[in-house]
Amino acid sequence: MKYRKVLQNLFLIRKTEELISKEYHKNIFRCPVHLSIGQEAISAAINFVFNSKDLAVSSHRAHAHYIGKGGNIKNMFAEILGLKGCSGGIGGSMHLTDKSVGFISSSAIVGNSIPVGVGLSLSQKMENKKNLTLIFFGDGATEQGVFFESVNFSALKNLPTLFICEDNKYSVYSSLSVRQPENRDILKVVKKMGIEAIEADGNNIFQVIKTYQKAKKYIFSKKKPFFIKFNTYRYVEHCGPYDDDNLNYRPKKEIKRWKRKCPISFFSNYLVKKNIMKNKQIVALEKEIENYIHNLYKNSKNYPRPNFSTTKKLIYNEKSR
Amino acid sequence: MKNPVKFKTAINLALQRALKKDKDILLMGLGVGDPKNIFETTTGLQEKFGKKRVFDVPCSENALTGICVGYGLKKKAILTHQRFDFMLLSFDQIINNAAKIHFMYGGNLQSNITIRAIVGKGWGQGPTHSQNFQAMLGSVPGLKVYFPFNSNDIFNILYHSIFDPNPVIIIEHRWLYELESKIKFQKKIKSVEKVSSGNKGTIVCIGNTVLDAYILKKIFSQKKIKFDIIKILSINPLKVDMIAKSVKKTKNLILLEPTHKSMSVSSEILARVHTSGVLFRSKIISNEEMSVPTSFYLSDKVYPQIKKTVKIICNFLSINSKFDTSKYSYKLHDIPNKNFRGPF
Repeated sequence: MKYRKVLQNLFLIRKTEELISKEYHKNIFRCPVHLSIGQEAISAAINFVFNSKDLAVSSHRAHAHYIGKGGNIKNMFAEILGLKGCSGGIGGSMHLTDKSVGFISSSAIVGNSIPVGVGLSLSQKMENKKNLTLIFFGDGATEQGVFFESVNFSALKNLPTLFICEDNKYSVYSSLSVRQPENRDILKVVKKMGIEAIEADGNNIFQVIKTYQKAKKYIFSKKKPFFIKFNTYRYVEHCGPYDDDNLNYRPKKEIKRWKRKCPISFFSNYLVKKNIMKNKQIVALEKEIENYIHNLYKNSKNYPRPNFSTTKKLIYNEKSR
Repeated sequence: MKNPVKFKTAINLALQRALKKDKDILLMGLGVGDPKNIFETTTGLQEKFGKKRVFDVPCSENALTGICVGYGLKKKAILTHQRFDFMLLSFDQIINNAAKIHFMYGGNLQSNITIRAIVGKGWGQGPTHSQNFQAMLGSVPGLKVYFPFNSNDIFNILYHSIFDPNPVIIIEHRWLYELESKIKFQKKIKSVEKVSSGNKGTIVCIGNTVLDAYILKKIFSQKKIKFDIIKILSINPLKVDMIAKSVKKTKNLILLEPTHKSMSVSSEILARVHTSGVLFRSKIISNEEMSVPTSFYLSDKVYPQIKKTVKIICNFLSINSKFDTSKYSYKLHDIPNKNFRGPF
């Protein structure tokens, strides 16, 4: 295992999100942001198992998936700054794309990108190549009709789809208890619909990688879709840069427990304990990544502003006709 | 090939031509490949192009639309709804995804998706099998919306839409399916077409009301009264230049609206022609302002019947309303031809 690279990936996501969080009060990121602080391991592991021909779609909380898939961070900063970024300043934080690395799209409507991912995996199946589509969504999306419709279709057609549910227990402020009957187990539901499903600790990157490997092997050997539920937790508010635990919608004990399970501390502690890296080296790497991200951010501010009349011309695609 | 062909056959021919040209095109929808084959529009296609490319689907209109959007990012997909009403389930995917995908990602993505939506009428289709929210679709930026009238229209519109990198919705009216006309391959789709000339007024018609316009033409020719008849084919984008030009000449604008009047395509045309600076009088002839009841004894009051339409036009133009409409008045208002027995 490339330990340093794994840690680097974790820091890339954490430092990007922290920078947005720190800079947000300056009112230059003039759009909603849904940060993934606390949920990094699920994304940091992507490129250790999947390649750029494996495609990915995501939800409103997409920064981590975009970065984990190898998306251009400078283009993302520019996009959130309202400059001519990865989506021309039109999509903003919730609508990211970087086709060059297979990160196709993310959507601001809960569940909306799930069938799009299934459609992409349908095209992959038709091509008969060994590639799949990763679909990232939250626990809230598993309450949408379109989720079940998509699972049903993928199972029916035996598509190379990897459904990845990041269960962070809350849909904005609404806990699972107000949204789902007590004994609803999404793994059982999905299994009964014909899709193999497993649960894993989303804050333990070893488990994440192992689960991805298992899923990939299953999808290509059995020629069937796969479903993963990663348990995880977000550390800042649903939308925005700040801690909102003063609102008391999450039990204090729960917050404490999950903060002890920070995916980055967990991995760093392991590296130190196993004498793979020294604490000093980890701190140095963290600083290095922080500077790297800061430079990307600084450069992204030099991107041009989007032009209104060329933006308007994008409403219809007149190019290829 | 026999030409003229029926509207439903023209659909089949356009689909065949497209499926043959590009082997990555998928054709799906509830009823595709079943014994009825979407009112015979997809007959023989599964046998010809295989079950992998032409297939029936689960009752999941919204997901299927998203799946076609995803598939359309790489290749091309055609989705069929046997009723426009069923397509309402997929408006999240149509509006939040398909219509915006090119725009929202800065021109980096495009999705080739063509959606067929069939509008029902008569034989008790009732409140949820006879709706056509064409104006709603007309208000969505990024969508293309067509409402073809004859075999040639649908043949060319459907074929070219499949290869259009923009999302296209094609509204098909069930009552046009058995009508025959000649088809000829065109290199481009017309968005509006003048089908008759005259000075007495300008009649604007869309989809199924084009049929009414042709009937009106015949009726008014009894007294040698002639109209400019303009057929709208594209609802989104909507172009009114030709209409404005005609109205400048005729000063009278009669709009045959296929749905009800409120927030309609006709009222939009009226507003646009008005703001173009032309002075004219106008009349919209439309359905009653309501959902269509199922009962045979109620539905005739909702749709404008030809006799009443003639009367309205005569009043509007201040001319004597003595015309023989008997030949064109349906004895049974709820069927398009005497052989039609629905069920839908």
